[in-house]
Amino acid sequence: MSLQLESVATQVKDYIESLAYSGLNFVSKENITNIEFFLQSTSQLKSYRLAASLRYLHIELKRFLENRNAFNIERYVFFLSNCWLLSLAFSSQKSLKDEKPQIFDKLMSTSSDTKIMSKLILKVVGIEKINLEGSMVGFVFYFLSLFGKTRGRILKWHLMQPYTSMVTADALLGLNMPNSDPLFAVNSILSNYIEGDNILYVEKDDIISFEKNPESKIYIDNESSDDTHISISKLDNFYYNSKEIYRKIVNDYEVTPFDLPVSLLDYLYVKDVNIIEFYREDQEGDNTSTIFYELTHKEDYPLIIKIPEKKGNLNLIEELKKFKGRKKPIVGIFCKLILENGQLTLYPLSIISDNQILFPNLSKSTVNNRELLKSVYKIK
Amino acid sequence: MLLNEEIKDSFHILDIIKIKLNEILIQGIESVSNENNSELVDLKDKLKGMNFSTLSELLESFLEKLQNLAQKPVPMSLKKDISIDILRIIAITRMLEKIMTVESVKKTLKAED
Repeated sequence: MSLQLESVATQVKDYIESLAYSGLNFVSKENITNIEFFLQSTSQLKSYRLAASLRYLHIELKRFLENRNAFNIERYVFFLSNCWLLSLAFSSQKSLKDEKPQIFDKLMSTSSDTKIMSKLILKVVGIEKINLEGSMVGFVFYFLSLFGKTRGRILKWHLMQPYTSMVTADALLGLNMPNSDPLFAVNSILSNYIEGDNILYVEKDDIISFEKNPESKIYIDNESSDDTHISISKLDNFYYNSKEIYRKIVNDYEVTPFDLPVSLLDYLYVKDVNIIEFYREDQEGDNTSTIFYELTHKEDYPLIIKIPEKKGNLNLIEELKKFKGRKKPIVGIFCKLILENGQLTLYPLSIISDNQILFPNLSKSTVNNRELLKSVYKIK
Repeated sequence: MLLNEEIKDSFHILDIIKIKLNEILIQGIESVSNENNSELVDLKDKLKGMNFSTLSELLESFLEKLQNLAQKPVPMSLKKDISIDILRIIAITRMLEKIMTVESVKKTLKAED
């Protein structure tokens, strides 16, 4: 198997080098079929990381050939470079495997860290809307785990549907929650605690998914419903001063050649936030503008909110603008803390106000508990 | 977070390199003729001045090899060497960008401490 991997990796490396030399203008439908073959071979050889990079490279090349707006040169170069670095490592993989087995395993991404969690108690504390035009729409839900081994961690669940012009991401909230028992709508999870049995958990990425075998079951935890105080107070665990963030960067953050220019450092709960200004900036070589929000906060180390002006972010952008110049500060914003271009930037996932968790990227920024509960009872 | 001018300039030059590389990866390496590579020569000199020596040396090696593209047909080994140079430049630019981000954030947080 190792000889096979070495041989496939050498072919991938040669292909990437010839692609870099010839340029995209020489790419054709015929010559990208090679990638499909490499993708199959690398998956069979369990080199999942290279297979994943090849898959994304193939997607970008197809977008380019079909002249689609979704093609992004930065993304293309990122995956081209990743494929080259990985194939370079595996093309001489015998020595890498022997000399640095841990790095070899990491590059292969073979270590399986998926588990079935017999019981989880979860509360949504953040939402990110995804709208990949022409491809997928949906949400990433950020759950705070309140039970067991994952207690205190943020677990992500993706609810995605193929893109059609008829379906908006928000409409998916009216769907039945997968594996719910009895059935309830997805939007019920915005204001209730949920309990889940047999949930698949990928530890490395803190991702959960609901499975058929063994069957996951999702229940509304009626006892805790409407009690948002518990989850809000738990967000304090994500409140960091400058010293703590510095330590995180030094101790936990690893720079590798495979990193995206934008990377998640952690989640952050920012308190006493005043939005003092916002402005739009066009990035050189990028079609998407970015909206920046200057702010002050309790600790006052420099932070800035940065949101790409994409379809999925339009509600979030508008909702945040409303807070500019208010006398009373926002109690707290729960965010992704991102390292990018020499700065710490924030992407808001929820706003805490009047003991409520609000999700500003949904069409209605305030979740109406009563209406949601009514809809649950109707289904029951 | 307000970046100081020196850091801003460093990020700016890495951005220019990325944009130039993107152009090359679209048009192909043979699109870079000796006449239109003056921008790359300027970049190489700027990088040297800013102590980005690894990147500057790689760019120099890339430019030297471009001189040999005049011979036709272009030998396969030369094509391969030039491609490897450009892929190395991409990987190192990405790494540098990341390292600079981490270091400048650390510096700012320490100053706040």
